Amino acid sequence: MRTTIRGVAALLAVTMLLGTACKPAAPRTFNPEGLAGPKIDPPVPKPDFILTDTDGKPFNFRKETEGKVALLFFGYTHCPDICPVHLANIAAVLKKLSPEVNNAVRMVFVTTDPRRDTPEVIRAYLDKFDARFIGLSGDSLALRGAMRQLPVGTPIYEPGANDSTYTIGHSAMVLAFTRDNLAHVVYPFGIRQQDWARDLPLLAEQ
Amino acid sequence: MRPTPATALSCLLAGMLLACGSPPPPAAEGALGDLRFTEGFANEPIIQASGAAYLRIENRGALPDTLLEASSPAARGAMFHGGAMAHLMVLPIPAGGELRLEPGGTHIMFEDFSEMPRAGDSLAVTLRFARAGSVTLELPIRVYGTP
Repeated sequence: MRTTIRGVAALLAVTMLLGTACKPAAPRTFNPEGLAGPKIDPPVPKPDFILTDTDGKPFNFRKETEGKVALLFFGYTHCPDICPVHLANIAAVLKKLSPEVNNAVRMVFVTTDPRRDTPEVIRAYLDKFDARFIGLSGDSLALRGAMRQLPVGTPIYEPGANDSTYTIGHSAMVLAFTRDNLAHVVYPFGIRQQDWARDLPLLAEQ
Repeated sequence: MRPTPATALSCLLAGMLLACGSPPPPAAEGALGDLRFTEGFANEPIIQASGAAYLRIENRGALPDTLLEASSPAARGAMFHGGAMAHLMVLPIPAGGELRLEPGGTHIMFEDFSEMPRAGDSLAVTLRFARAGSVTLELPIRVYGTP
């Protein structure tokens, strides 16, 4: 029965992604070609940083995400366009995936706006998507230190109508670190729930 | 939740012309002079301080126009942003061309909602153009996310 369901699901996946070869699931070596998220070459090493989580406690990214699929995204709560789409998509897909996949995945949101995004603000924001999402903040120096290790550029401050309505240009990419502590694939804006639904179980099996 | 064989199969049979179980989300349309508006919608904001709206504006005229301002009675402020949140003062619409405001690209950002828009309702948005004048569109409100 399980096999049948898998078979039909695989067929469906093939129908949706025309031109993708039908491969057996769970390759032992990392196979970015089988994923919807574009490959990044060379793979990005997992950054080494300690920031503050929404309980106000230090969060060592490498240590806390060891052995997990860590989805890392830099954004801010006042962001109306890109951030909520990524977070809503990942939250919606995790709800539909197995407990095993859910247990294997950690979504980590790091603010690029520490002035407005206090740990409390970040917690309330992430809870609108998924209470398990991890939110990190820190001072500008610590945040820059984390971002410098990654191909996410430098956030750009854009003044608003008044002092409290500024916006921040930032990378639109979610980096996916697998258990080998490397990001072989990234998820740019435009990635859909069906892409995450395909990729997260595969990333969790790596 | 895994798809049951029956659902999966019926989806397969439905083919690729139809998205399974999800009718296309509603979008606003309209016209003003030479301008045609399509694919208009807003997203239900996550926080009271900011939200975004999108639409496609086609200029069928022989003269260019410019989108000068957007506003909504439900929000205290609005501005235009390009990709990577670059602040744009006005948005040109070339003659015979179009302006696409879409997720991940240029969009209208509303600030400080006095009334929180809710998915399923609509958001009244007034657009003011240099040549064509003003129009108010009722943009359907969707939830964030791309199936």
